[in-house]
Amino acid sequence: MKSDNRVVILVICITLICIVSFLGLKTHGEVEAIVEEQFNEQQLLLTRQSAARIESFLNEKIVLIEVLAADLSDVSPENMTSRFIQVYHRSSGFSSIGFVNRTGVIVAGYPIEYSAIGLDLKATNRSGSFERAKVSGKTYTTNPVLLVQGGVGSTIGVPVYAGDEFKGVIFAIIEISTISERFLADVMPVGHGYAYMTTKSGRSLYDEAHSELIGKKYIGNFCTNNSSYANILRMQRQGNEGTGYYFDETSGERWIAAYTPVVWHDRLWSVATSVPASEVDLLIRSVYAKQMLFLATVIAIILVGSFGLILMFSRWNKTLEAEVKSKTSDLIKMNKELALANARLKELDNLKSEFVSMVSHELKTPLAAMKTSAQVMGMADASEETREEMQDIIIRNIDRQTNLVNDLLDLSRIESGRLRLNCENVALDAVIADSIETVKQAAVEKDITLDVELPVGLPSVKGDREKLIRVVINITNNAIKFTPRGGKISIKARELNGQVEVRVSDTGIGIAAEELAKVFEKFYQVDNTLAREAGGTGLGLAICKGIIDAHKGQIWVQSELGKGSTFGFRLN
Amino acid sequence: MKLDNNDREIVELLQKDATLSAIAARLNLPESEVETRISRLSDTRTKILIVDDELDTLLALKRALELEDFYVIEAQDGIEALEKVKAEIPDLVLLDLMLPRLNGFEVCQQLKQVEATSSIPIIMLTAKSECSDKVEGIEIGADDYVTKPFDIEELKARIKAVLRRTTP
Repeated sequence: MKSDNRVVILVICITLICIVSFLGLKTHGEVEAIVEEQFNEQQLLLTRQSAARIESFLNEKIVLIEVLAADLSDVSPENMTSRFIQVYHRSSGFSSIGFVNRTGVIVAGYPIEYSAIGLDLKATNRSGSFERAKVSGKTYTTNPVLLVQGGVGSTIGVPVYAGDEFKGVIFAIIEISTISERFLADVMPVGHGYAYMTTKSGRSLYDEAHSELIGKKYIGNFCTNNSSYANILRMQRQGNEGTGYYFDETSGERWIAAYTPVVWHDRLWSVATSVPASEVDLLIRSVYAKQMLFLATVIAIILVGSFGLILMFSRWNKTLEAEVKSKTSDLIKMNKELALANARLKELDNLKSEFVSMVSHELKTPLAAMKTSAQVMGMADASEETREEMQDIIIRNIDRQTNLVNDLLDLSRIESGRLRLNCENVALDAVIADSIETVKQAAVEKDITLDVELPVGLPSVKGDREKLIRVVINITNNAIKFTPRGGKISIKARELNGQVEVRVSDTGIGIAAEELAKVFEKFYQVDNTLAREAGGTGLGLAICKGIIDAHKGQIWVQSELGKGSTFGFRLN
Repeated sequence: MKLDNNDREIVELLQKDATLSAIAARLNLPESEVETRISRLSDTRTKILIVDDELDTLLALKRALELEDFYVIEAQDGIEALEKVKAEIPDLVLLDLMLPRLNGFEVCQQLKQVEATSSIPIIMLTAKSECSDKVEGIEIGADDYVTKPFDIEELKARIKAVLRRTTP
């Protein structure tokens, strides 16, 4: 039962752990995919955000220059510079602002050192965009080109009209480095990937990790045309938004790229982030770590729970066992008590049948004597002397029978607690004197001296006079029976600790130590012959004890074999 | 009646008309002893030993049997009974069961074990009437069993029957 419970709990525990582990592993795979997806999404959002900011920045600059162009339609080039200074300082992000007159010569600009004033565009063969704006009358933008002052920049050109008269073009240069510093440099945390930006043709505008590539095409300088990175670049050049993986030969790592197009005026650029795939693994690992922690906690809870259950069960079992044990021992105890009670009952039964057999023997014996005697008396040839002898036998046995019956009745009353005492103040010296009167004859016949010693002023006791006389007679008669001819019996009374003690000592045969305890038992006789000779019923001392007990007194015997016995009792 | 050597010599001397004192001197026995032996030898009645510790029962029974002309000797306990049987060689023993020192069964057993006394018939007398007692008494060799109080006529009849059965 006990081990069964444990096995069941262990099986449940193992099953639970298996289920949890299985679910954990399954989630593992899902988590990997989700984390990857989320990570890519996050990178994409970063690029989107950067792209949007760059777009709005550039568009804002276009609008600004357009407004400026409208304002400056009727302002002479000499006066333009002050306005340029205003705009340059109010709106950050311009590298330089200038004016090209209708002949294609830069006539005004700020800051002067970056403005190349006096440069003839036509003469230096840089007038493509200028000519197109002059013809179309529309704002234009240029691809990023190497600037005179260094770096790469794009030019915004807005034609200026005074009425319908073309006056020239207001141009502003925006350095790409300004954009990248503002919007790209801080996109990626250091050490966790980098951001870059390309033009439609695949030229690098900005690359956080490879600054040497800026202004160059990636394909050919960074990767081959059929590399996985080239595919990403292709998607970027087509103006797509998305994420993708590529393999970097130099680092030997897998990278994740996320890209978003930047569309402003008629330019198509692309902002991208590039992150090693191991970053995702890091994230996944941290998720895994948390998952493992969760798994471990759940398993621990399951184990602790199961262990607790087992502990509880075993405690239960123990308490049950203890209870069963105590109950069993109770039962055993009860059985023992029952067995004892049974043995005692049997003993009592034996005692009873012994008693009945004793009584029947004691009753039948005088009857046998009487019957035979009566029959002898009836015989014709019986002499007168014999008849008298027989008559004596009959009378003696009738007396004996009567005594026996009386003793039996008394004993029955004593044993059933029906002994009635007629209590009064009794003077024990008078009781002794009366008793002596009764037994004197028997003593004289055996030539036994009765020595009576009674102190003067013996206090009286509460008791039944008749019954106490009977006790003294019984004890004294016993003494006479067991004392040989010419012996001596002394009867003494004294006061002792508020009690009155009566002692009857004889010079008789005495009682063996092992027999002493039995003398107050009914039908106990030290020596059958002597007892029979003396005509005792074997009930006398039992009755004496009963009477003294009923008076709440004590009766006792002292004896030494061959030297005599002393019987005594004390009464309150 | 069985005789010992002294008895035989007394018989022989009496046949030679020896006097009482002469016989006593010859056999180195007190005169009273010789007198008892002579009176016993001259008594031809059937001799019955009654063993009972109840004197009244013993006396009444003795008188009853004496009136029937039996010669009655008595013993009051088991040991005395064994001694009396050896000394007197009775023709029959009436044996009470409840005896001091040696009970009736033991006395019966011992008498039946000894060659000289094994042929003496024994009738058990007791106030106990349980069947097992009777069976035990018969088994150890008692010839009959009478429970107290008994009818004297019945007892006499049983004594005569046992004597008839055992005397050759």
